Amino acid sequence: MILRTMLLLVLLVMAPAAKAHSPLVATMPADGAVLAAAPDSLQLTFKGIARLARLSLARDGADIPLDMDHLMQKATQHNVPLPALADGRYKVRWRALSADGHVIKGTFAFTVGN
Amino acid sequence: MDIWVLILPLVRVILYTGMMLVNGSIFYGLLLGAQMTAGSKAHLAGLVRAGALVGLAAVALQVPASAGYLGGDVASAFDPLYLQLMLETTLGWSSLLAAAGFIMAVWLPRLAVKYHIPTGGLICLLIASAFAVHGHATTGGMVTRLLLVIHLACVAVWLGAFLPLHRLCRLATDDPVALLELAQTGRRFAQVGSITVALLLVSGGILAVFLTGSVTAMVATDYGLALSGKVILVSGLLGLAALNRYRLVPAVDSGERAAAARLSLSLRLEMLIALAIILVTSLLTTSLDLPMPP
Repeated sequence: MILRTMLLLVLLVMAPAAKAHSPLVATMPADGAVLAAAPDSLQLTFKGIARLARLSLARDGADIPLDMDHLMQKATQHNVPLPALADGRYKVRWRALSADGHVIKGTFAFTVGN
Repeated sequence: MDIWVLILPLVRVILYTGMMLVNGSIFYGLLLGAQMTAGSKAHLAGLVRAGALVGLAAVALQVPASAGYLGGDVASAFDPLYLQLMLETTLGWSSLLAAAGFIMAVWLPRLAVKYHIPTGGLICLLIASAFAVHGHATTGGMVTRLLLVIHLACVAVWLGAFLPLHRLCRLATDDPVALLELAQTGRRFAQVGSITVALLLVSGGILAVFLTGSVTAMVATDYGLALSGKVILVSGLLGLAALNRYRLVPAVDSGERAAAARLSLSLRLEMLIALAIILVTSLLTTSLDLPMPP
């Protein structure tokens, strides 16, 4: 009786946790890409729903201001509009909240021009 | 250097320590309570209370620490937006379950270790479930979550016995009553331990396959390498457990006081390895990401 009650309790308390891990699966531009023309947006695609919490873009260590409207929204694909970018090597740093409650983060880089 | 990569696993280590102390002591009381003296029971209740306070401190720290990790700076740990975001995830539910279990353990430590299965069982369930509703264990649905609860229960039975047994070893060198209690408890623990270790290895093995996805990932990813390190540490712990079971406990059983001192040393080594296992597990559940599926 006690065992059955305990088992039922475990199932009940664990029921709300049906969430999947949402790692980053693709970016546009891809990591290491060399582009002839500057992209007009950044695209981050996650395996599941994720909230993008932080995103920064830097060229030679100097941060480039970005439109932050996309932050904190729940989506599998996040599109971030970019200002006009000059030729150079860019580094993107991001942090997001995975659907399973885990914080995930990463970086990727791309080059515009030669 | 991202300071949260260090802080978050440290908070997790504190949480695991609280869980091991509370659940381990409760299981020890429930499984071996019949052979305990009043002094041992009081010591066990003290461990439950201490573990519960440690656990509560970790619960209070884990939400701000996660918010700080999400934002990537110290200010984010106190930012209401980031804190709310973290509380809205399964971390919020997990913290609530853990807090409920630890608060019960602070109030009812003596009841929890005195064969009162509903109280002790409820506390253990609440705390173990807190680990199963948040994080990587949720990836495989109810199967991995139940496996984790079983795995944590077995870990608590095993590691939770270290401190009470170590106390008995110290007392047994010049107290015949403690030597007798140690011999009886050691015999009983050897029987319980066999089943526990078998369950622990099976549940841990299945969980590893679920989480890494392949044998290759065990050596080709940071997560897999850390998991392999954990397996090596557990193997060391198993070696010492075998030494205790087949050499030292029978020697204590035959009345050898010197064996109690050797068992005490072996238990101290086991506690060190257990701490290393907790450290690796904390990294696995916080800073390291699951391998990408092929």
